[in-house]
Amino acid sequence: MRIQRIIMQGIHALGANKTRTFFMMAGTIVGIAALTVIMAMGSGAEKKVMKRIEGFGPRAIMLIAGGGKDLPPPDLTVSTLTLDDAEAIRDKVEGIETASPAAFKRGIPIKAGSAQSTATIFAVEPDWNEAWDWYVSDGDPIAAEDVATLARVCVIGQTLSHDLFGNESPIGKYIRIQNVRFRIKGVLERRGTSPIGTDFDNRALIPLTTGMRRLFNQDYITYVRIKVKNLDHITSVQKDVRQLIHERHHILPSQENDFRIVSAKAVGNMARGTSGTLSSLLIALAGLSLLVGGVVLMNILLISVGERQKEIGLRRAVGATRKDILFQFLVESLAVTCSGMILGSGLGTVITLILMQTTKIPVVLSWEPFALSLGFALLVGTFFGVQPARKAASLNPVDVLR
Amino acid sequence: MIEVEQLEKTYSTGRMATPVLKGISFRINEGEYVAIMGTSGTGKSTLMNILGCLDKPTTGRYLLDDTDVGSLDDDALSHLRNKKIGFVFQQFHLLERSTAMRNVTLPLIYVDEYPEDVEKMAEKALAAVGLTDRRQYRPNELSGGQQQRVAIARALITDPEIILADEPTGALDRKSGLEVMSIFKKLHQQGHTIILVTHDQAVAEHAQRIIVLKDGQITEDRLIKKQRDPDLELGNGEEKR
Ligand SMILES: Nc1ncnc2c1ncn2[C@@H]1O[C@H](COP(=O)(O)OP(=O)(O)O)[C@@H](O)[C@H]1O
Ligand SMILES: [Mg+2]
Repeated sequence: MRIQRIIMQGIHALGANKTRTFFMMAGTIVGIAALTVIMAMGSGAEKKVMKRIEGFGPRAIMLIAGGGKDLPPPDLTVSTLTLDDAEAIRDKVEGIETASPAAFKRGIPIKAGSAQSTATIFAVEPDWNEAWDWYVSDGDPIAAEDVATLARVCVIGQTLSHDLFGNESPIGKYIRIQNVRFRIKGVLERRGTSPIGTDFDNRALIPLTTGMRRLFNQDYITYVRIKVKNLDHITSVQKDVRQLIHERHHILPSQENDFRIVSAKAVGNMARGTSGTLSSLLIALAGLSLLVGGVVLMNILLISVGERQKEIGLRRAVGATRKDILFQFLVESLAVTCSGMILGSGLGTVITLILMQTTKIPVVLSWEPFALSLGFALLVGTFFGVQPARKAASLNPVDVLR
Repeated sequence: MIEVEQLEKTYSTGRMATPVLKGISFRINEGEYVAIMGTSGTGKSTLMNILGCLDKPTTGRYLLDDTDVGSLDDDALSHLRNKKIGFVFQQFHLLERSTAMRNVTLPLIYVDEYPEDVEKMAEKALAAVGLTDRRQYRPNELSGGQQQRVAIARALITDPEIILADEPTGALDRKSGLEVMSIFKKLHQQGHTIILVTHDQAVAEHAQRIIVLKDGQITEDRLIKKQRDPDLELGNGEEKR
């Protein structure tokens, strides 16, 4: 095939002048290497975000007492969020699986015989487990009857259990929370620590009524954990809840909210935000390298067209058409960027592997950067190759062979 | 067969118009060996470029095997050059970084049907110019005469009807020049049409027919009577100049 033969001519010309070819390639190598690393870091960051969302619960919405925009901790002094609000959400908002109200307090001293510790106390309803997808690994959860009778029972986390009872089973034993005696009826599954280092397992759950009336002595709650039936409805549910609470709390448009709504989406966005600066810097580096590399490539090609005028004239004399010449120079440009892309991807992969070994930066290697790099290589090769190729094709053989 | 009628060529650079060819007509039959002679700047190369389909006359007609070359577009001209014309230039114009073999096969890149026995064809062409043992040499490893012979082999590879040589000995020493001329003689004997451009009377004497150009017009068009072998005369011719 004529096309094949011309491609081989282009590749041979590149091979015949390796130094020039290397300089044409350098920008692409750096740009693609940077792109590969960026994408590995991007996927790493995204994986971390997904883990956060997974941890928060993809279908969860938190209605939290207190204004502002950030994630918890909630403002424990705000007293406007009530059980009636939770009830209203259950009744009026469509698409909800659970809406579980809770109140909590941190740093409550707890004793068991001579052993003592401090933990966070959550006053919850029976659907708490379902709302958090967090169940007992031993014993029984807080039951509806416990809430109805203001029972002095609790379910404790594994850290608290270990701190107070070592390796013994705590089921059926008693602890004192703020000098009120509670019977332990269950132990929660282990959850580990939060991204900021809070130990999820250092806690005790008690019935909501017991907590509000006996322990905290308050008629308001701290948050409502809402779980939507369908992931697609998360935005609409969020909107409905906001509107409902707005109305119920009689908040005027000019006033600040006394509550916050946080969804998995918001959690994800927040996690994304922290990794943004570094990667936008690297994206700029990659873009700049590709651009500078492209311009360098174009200029070397233009010089090369000048140097190779006689060769071009000769090719035309022995039968090359303008298109053949155009095509050969485009092939040379594209061969440079595509080989640069292969070397750059290799270099980028090596750098990524080194990052993986030596730093904590999350990285994920995948095929996507290769596909994108190939796209960029073709784009840069064509875009910056076209002008030199046109120039070569437009040369008049009579003029250059004189 | 080549037939030109009232060829005129005027170069226009800016406001200046330089008439170079002012009405050239002749006919060259297949198998002829013609020298186009004239002093430097008379338009020999200009005429040669037109005959080689590299350039077009300002006015006039050029028939190549009954094809009106003036009516062809750029692509068609490229194909025509590839098929029917072999060029030999004063400056050789070889690809510096390519071997003799690659240089010789260059025109085959642009043929419609790539032959299967390219290697053999190249070997044959190189053998015809006496360079069988230099196949893998690059131009900078060859003498001027050898380089010009590679260029002739390149012109031969497509077995063209017409070989156009513009001052083929102009850059060579006398001995290499004679070698090159003896190759043209051999090619002529094998039936190729050869058109040789030169300013050198002694070189022109190798042809069968001489067309003399002066001030853009033909002043002389004559056949050479061959009593003696002009190869032996070349030395005398140069001394006389
Ligand atoms: N592209 C061009 N533009 C303007 N003038 C040209 C061009 N090519 C040739 N000439 C002029 O035409 C004349 C004939 O040139 P040329 O055909 O090369 O002569 P020769 O080969 O006989 O020495 C010269 O005076 C030259 O300067
Ligand atoms: Mg000339």
